[in-house]
Amino acid sequence: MDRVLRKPRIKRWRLWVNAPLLLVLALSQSPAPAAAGEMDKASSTGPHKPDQPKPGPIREPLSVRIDRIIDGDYLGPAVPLATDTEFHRRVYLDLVGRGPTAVETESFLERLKARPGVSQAIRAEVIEDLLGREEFSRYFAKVLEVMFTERREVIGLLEFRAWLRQCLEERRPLNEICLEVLAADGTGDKLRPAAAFILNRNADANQVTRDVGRIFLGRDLQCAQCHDHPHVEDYKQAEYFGLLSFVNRTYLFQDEKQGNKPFLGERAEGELEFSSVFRPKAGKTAAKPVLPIGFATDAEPDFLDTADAYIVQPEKGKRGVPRHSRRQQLAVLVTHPENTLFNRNLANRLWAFLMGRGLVDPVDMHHPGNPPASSELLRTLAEELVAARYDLREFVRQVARSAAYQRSVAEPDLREWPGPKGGERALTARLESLEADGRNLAPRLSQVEKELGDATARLLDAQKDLDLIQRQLDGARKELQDLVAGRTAEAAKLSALQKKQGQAQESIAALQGAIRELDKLVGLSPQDKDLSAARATLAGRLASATQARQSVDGEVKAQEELAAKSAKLAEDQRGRVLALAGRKMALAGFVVEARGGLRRAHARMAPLRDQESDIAQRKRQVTQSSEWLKARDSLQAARRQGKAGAAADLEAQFRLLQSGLVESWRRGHAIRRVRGLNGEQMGVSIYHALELDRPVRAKAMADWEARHQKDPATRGDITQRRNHEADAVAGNLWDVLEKDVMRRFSAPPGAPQDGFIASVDQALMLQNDPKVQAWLKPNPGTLTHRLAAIGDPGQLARQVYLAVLGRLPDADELKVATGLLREHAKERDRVIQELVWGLLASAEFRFIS
Amino acid sequence: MDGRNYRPCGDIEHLLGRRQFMGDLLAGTGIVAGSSLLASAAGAGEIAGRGKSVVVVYLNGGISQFESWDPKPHLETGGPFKAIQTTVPGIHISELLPHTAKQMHRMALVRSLNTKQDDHGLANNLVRSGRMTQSATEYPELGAVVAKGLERADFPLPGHIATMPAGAGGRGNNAAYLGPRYGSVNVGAEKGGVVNARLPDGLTVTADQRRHDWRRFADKRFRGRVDSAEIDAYTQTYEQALRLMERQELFDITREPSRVQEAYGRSEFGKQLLLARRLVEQEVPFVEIQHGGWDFHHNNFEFHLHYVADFDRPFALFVEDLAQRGHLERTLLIVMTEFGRTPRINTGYGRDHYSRAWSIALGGCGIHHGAVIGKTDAKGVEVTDRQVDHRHLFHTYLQAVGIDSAGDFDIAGRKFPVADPAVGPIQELLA
Repeated sequence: MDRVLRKPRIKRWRLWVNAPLLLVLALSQSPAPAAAGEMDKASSTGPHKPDQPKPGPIREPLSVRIDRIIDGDYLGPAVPLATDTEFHRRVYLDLVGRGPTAVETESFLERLKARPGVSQAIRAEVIEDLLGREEFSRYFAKVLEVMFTERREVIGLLEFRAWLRQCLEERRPLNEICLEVLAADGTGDKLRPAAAFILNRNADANQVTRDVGRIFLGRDLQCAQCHDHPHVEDYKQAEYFGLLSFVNRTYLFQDEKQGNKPFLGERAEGELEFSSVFRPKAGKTAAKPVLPIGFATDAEPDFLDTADAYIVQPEKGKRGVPRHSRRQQLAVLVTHPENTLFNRNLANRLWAFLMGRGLVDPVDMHHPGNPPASSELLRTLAEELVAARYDLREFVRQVARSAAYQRSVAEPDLREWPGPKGGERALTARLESLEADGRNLAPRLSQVEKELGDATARLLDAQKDLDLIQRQLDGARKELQDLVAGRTAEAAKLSALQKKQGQAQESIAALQGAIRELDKLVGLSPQDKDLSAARATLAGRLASATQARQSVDGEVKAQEELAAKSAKLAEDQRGRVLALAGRKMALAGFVVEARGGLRRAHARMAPLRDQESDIAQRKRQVTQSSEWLKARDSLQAARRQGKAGAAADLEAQFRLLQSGLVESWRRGHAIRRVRGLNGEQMGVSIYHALELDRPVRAKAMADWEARHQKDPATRGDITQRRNHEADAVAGNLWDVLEKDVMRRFSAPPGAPQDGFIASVDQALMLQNDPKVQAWLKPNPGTLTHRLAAIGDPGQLARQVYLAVLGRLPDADELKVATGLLREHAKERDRVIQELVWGLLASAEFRFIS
Repeated sequence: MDGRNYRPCGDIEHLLGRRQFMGDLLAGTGIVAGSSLLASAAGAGEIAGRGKSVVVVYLNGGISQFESWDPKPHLETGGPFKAIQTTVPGIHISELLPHTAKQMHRMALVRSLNTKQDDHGLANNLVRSGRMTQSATEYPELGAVVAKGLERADFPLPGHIATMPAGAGGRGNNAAYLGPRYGSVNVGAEKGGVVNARLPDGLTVTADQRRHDWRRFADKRFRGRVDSAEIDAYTQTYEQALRLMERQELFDITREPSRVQEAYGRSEFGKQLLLARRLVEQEVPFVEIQHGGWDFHHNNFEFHLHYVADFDRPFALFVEDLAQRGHLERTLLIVMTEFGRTPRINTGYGRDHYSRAWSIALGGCGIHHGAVIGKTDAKGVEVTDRQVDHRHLFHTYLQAVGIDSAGDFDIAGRKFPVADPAVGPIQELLA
């Protein structure tokens, strides 16, 4: 997989000659099929950079394709676009996380008035304006932070948000951001914040597994931890453990030298086995690092010994860094442009964010039993996301430009609607044509299903061979280690004997020297008996020393043979291990190839499954429409005939069918869904509606002037001034609102964050909290202060609506509001606050319509 | 939730029989405060037909089973205290619980818990969520599950209340996927009650009504154009808030007759129990009372002497009071803690964390009164009979108040088992 490993590998082959135990069997690379080769190229250059879309016929913009797909499936009455001010508030809330200010809405209304008839163009301009603002990065940094952390309260959250913001300011592709989030280990100041995703979960392997599944792949495998998922056929225990195998070696490392600052360490070993709690007797299955639809690291490098498996070996005070990191593999495989699960999940989450509901809902339950509202649309969104190099702004731009995004939330009035175009006959024809589509699809489906089965079988076969050789290799390696230990022992014995041999030689030499000295003395006094006796003794000693040495010589010789033999055995075994390693490499190549085959089969299958699912959905819609039509006709007939009782029953039935039909349109995004503001939108909107930012801006600018009094160039620099002002507002905003408002209007930490939260304490806070009351008080610069200065009640009421709801009041609203102001003229300030509060607390403010 | 295993635990015959039994007992025991606390108001039948409640008294830190529910006198692990008889022949508990001993006929014990978790925080998550997970936020706690399971339309109060010594704000993060609607609302026994439940200074009732009328006007216009269940839920929160504000006096224990206040005592715990009783009378589905600081690694015996006494008398009175008012029949009581203490007495005369063999007490609605589940060995080291854990208890609590613990919650298309599907309730503990 990783070419970076190649160079050191050659070095290690050299090492083999001298230091067998340190040697690595580098199996990291294997002959790869074309597809895998492509992947190598991308992964070796770090961040993925998919090729530019090929030049050719001009591609239709995504926004147009979105509408064509949605309209093609829709059988209901035409739905108008949202009014201009509805769209304006909606797009502000979605793109910068707040409603428009009174000034912004007024300027929008003026533009519309100045250029009548080009509302669409002006809407596009608004989208561009918002995409270019720093507020966009700021808000989406928070959105991504919430997606990744799910509001777990952790250290380093602000740094994480700042890092995300910087990534978005630099227009970095979303998949690159995701890759860094999975790969970061907390080292390096620049990338440390990205590690928050895993650090926040205390590097708990099961928690990380679950959330990588949910957040990156859209699959909540939680229930598959202890057994195959009981409700979702597609979620297997093996998939859970496949994912877990990538992360279970990663652990939390707290550096004592840095005040227990947390980092991520990783081990080079740790294989998993699993068994189902439903079938405890069925035995254990070995887990492999595998992701669904054919992504895996099949050819992992083999290290002969733990020391060599690490760049830094984990021990007390040392963060483990393996040569082969499974988490790095995971980061690449999960976020690779070829990983359609990742692409679909990301596209679906962004779509859900902008449209109020994912095409797949819930967003973390992608599986065949829970098909997308439109598979064709999800496929298109995912492909375009990749083609646009995962550019967040481009994706948001295209969705926001679509009519689907800009539609009214009002339910269509079905009373005057004659029914689907062409009536029952057209529905029947459509149903027949869908059935024909289904019949045409069937043989292709079963063909690819067979291919998929074959590919799976081929992979299993190849894997079986690989597993076998791996077991042999593991055994041989173990044997080699024993033999090397034996060889070392024999060599030690030999050197002990050789030492003994040397000592014997030394004592012989000493004796011989002494005898020579004695002989000289004997020559001088031949009669000295003592001398003769001494010489005889020495001669005797020499004889026995010589004998001893001969015996040691014999032992040394024998030991030399033993040592040579055991060295030979070790050498031979080394050769065997090498040979097996070579064979494994060849066999791993087949597994990689088979895996590629499986991936290609999946890729062929996916569009067919999409078609199958869409045909089923469309058929259901046709049936629903036709049932509605029939129920309406019989209801009308009963009414005409004056059968009140029957009509009542029929009416109940008809209403049920109708609400089902409308819901199916909503699900298909042909009608827009009203959705609640998330905690951030709620908080930031309150802040800006009440114009609490104005005193902060004024103060920030005064500070700026004072600070750069002597430096007119900096003082006048518009960009710097703006940044300073924006930072001041953002800082104040989070201080004021994050705990009190945003959290209160959000799901709790650790829970899915896409639901709508309404609870009594929210209402109590908005009604009675002294802080909220203080925001409503006419403090200089804020909304109620500004309003108090407006004399004309009508003008005042219009400003209240513009500031809080981003629109002008209609005649009735104006009448009631001005009535209140006139009636309670003595309590004018009080009534102004009540008018503002009532709209802040209204459902219209709380929802995006 | 279809309530398949619904158990009518408060039917009249059952209730009358129980009352008769209780009366006999009372004659002999001369229990605290006696009939002076007995409410005259609701008849038994009326109460029996009403919603269930669950009250958890949580002894934070881990009470010692030896000095409470599973005494082992005369053994080296048993400590200095004796065991005393209770109102149930054959059941002995620590002599530190003389008042509770007189309520044993309304309670039951589980003496065979093995929960395998000796860390406070993690064990706390386990016993509250009834799962094997170690993550605090993954599963809803009992309170949230009960609040959802016993939820009734138009109930004016929060379904999950945590009492606090003094007015403490906010809501607990303990409902996980069930959503904050079922998370605990913190209510103070003194000063404050529910946070933000009083009109802000300077806002008159007239002005408040005026701003709500204006809000309703805005909502009506909005909902004329577009409507959804979520919009309805949101506008309803204001009406709920107003109802709760109107009922603030429910949280005010000073409205109790002074003799009742005196009987419950001046301790924080007593006041919270009294608040809990008022809330149970309102049929709040779940109320939790915390009694803190039981982690006695040193001087275990001296501390238990004081702490158990602080618990015993008000708690026994609470049981008696509920019984006399007829609410015990519809109220499940649980004395919960995160684990027990070691049989070994350490050098500081303390006991350390021990989850391998410990006990809890529970009583009231749906519980087989006088039952003792399981056994530990003579020294209290191991469970020797009927080993269970927090997951079985979780099922049992829910079944006792008629919630189908084998069912699933369906939350926006995601299915969540109500309790751990790998196990079931302790059947012999259920009435």
